[in-house]
Amino acid sequence: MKIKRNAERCHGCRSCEIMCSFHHHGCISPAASSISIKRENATGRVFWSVDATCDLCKGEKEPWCERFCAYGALKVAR
Amino acid sequence: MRADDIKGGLAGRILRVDLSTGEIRSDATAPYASQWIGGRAINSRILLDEMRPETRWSDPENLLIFGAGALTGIAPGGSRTSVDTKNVFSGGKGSANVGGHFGPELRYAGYDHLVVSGRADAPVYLWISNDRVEIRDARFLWGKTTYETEALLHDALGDDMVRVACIGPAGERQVLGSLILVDRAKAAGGSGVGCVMGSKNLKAVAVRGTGRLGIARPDAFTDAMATAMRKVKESPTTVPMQEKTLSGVAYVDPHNPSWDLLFVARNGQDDYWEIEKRKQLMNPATGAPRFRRKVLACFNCPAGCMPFSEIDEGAYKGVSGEGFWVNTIMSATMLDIADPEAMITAWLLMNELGLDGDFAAGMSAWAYECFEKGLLTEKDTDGLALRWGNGDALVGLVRKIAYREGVGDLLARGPVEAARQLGGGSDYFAINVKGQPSIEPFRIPKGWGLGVATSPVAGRHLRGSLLGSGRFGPRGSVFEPQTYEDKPGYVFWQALTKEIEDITGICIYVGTWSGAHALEVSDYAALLNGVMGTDVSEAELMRLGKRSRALEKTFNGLHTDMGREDDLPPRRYREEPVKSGPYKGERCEPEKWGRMLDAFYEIQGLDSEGRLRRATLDALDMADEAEKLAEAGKLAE
Repeated sequence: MKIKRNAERCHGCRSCEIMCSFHHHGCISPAASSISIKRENATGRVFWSVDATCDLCKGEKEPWCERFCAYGALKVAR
Repeated sequence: MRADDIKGGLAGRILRVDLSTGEIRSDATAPYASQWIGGRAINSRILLDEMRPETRWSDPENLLIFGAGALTGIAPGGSRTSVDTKNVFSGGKGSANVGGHFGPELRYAGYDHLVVSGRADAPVYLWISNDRVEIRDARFLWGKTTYETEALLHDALGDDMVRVACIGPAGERQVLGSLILVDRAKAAGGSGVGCVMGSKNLKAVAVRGTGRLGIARPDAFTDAMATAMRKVKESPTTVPMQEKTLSGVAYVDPHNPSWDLLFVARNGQDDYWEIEKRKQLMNPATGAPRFRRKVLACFNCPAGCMPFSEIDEGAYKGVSGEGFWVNTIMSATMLDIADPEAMITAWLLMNELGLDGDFAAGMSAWAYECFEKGLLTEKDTDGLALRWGNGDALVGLVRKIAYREGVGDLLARGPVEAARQLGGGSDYFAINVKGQPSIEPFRIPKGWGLGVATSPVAGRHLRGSLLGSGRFGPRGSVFEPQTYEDKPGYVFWQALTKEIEDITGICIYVGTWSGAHALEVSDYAALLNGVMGTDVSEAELMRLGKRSRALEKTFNGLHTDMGREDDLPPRRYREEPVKSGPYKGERCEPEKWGRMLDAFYEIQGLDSEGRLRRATLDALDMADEAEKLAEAGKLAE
């Protein structure tokens, strides 16, 4: 299982980054997130990546990146 | 609240940089936050405490303060940064507010606020990377556009995740209405904040932060986040806005009621813009929405409102960028321009060259009317035919203003000085509020006009302005936009919620004003308490809003001689009625408007001249401010 992003839906807001860091560390820090969102301001393109520290929010009902994404852009691919 | 009551949420430091001496130091945020929470209120406190009234905007002693909100980088819609300084137009409080990703990054770097003083001998930029803060040579950036500046800084610093706030050629030349651009798209536009930055020889602030913001009560925070997200999701306007942006939802329908309420035509000659022109500008098949490629969001914003446009045919083929907004439409109607490609191009060019959109559109509309009346000719404009509706001419004129070329140098001086120099009665239609050009409607939506006219930061529509048509106003309330009687109460409520939004850093489009229109002051209290570990109530936040507004009123009292006259609508809107459309005949009737203003002053605890009363300040625990005003003879005893 892993998190998948629908690039069409993603608005590049990075709520997934911060809620991921909150799950892992109990604080807000994009640098400490499993997810990295990069926005290319000149083209409007938004890139994302997930590193090996993602545990799909073990202990939670659903991954917090998915739960707090307002755009329905993130889903666990089972 | 005591400083040690705050258990989370703060980055912790206020960074201070003196460009004259090169000194860099920092103070703790907590003593300020315990009194003022964050954002604009702390900026206002510092300005009031540390700047003398004699200081002019162009003096090195003027301060330029960037203040992220207390929930910036944390809460839904928490992207905002307040930029405060002396207003280049009014000489009073200057303030602009900007979203994007800059404020959150500043906080992750460890700083809630950045206070810039002094003036560098040569162009510099500020590089902030966590604990490392440097004033660096910016000669390689001087003369560059905002777009080029971001790219060059990414190259120079070897990191394209660096967030950049910068000025363009307009700010370098101290065009009065210059902006500070963030993320190549988001503008801190009003009050001439970019002009002040230019006067300090500060081209850019580049920031990268990898630190952490603590959460005092994790469970309460999670609950508050879940509630906020649910409210946003349940709002009927959220999904359409996410897909099409607000202007793409509201204005593709030429019969949407807001079209009749909100738009000023031809520099205020009318407040009705013809249906055919609305269709040409905004229809989905060939209008501005046709060029929308994507919708983007600011940091942690669940609403998402900003279009990225790309023109793929015609004279402006190849133009692309983020930013086409309701103010773009307001600018279009002021100039009678229905050409979507020209309007997108002009708007993006303002961002690229560092010109505030309202300023550029307002000054251009004045120039177009001067052209109509023969006060300016093609000889004066180097061949630009400034005829109503000519979008190509606007693109040319924007460039001239930004670089102060030819007639652009006149327009760069702002409405008061430009009209004084040109003469010919042009001051009558140099539409401004406290010296700042205004593209706002006054004659039809009285509450909107009241908010603009009385804004402590010289006009603009984010200090209480509302319509009452179901958008822009307290949720659930219904009122007639064009009546006077009930407006003071609504406008004061909206002005106070905006204070709290600028203190927390939460965007008004997620909050109480428009857009998703989902979060309320009770939500801000819940989020603050979860994050900071405090126990503030909704009522306490509303009181803080009053105190924050009183700081700005105090600043204006000490730094200017502005009074009741300066809180009136522009003269044209008092004298000339609307000429056509469903609200034909409406104007700001002086007697009725005066009574509305009296009531508005009364609600705020001001006297009939708009001065703060001692009892008002005492009730807000602001006796020191009362004393200062009394010494200056500016307090109503």
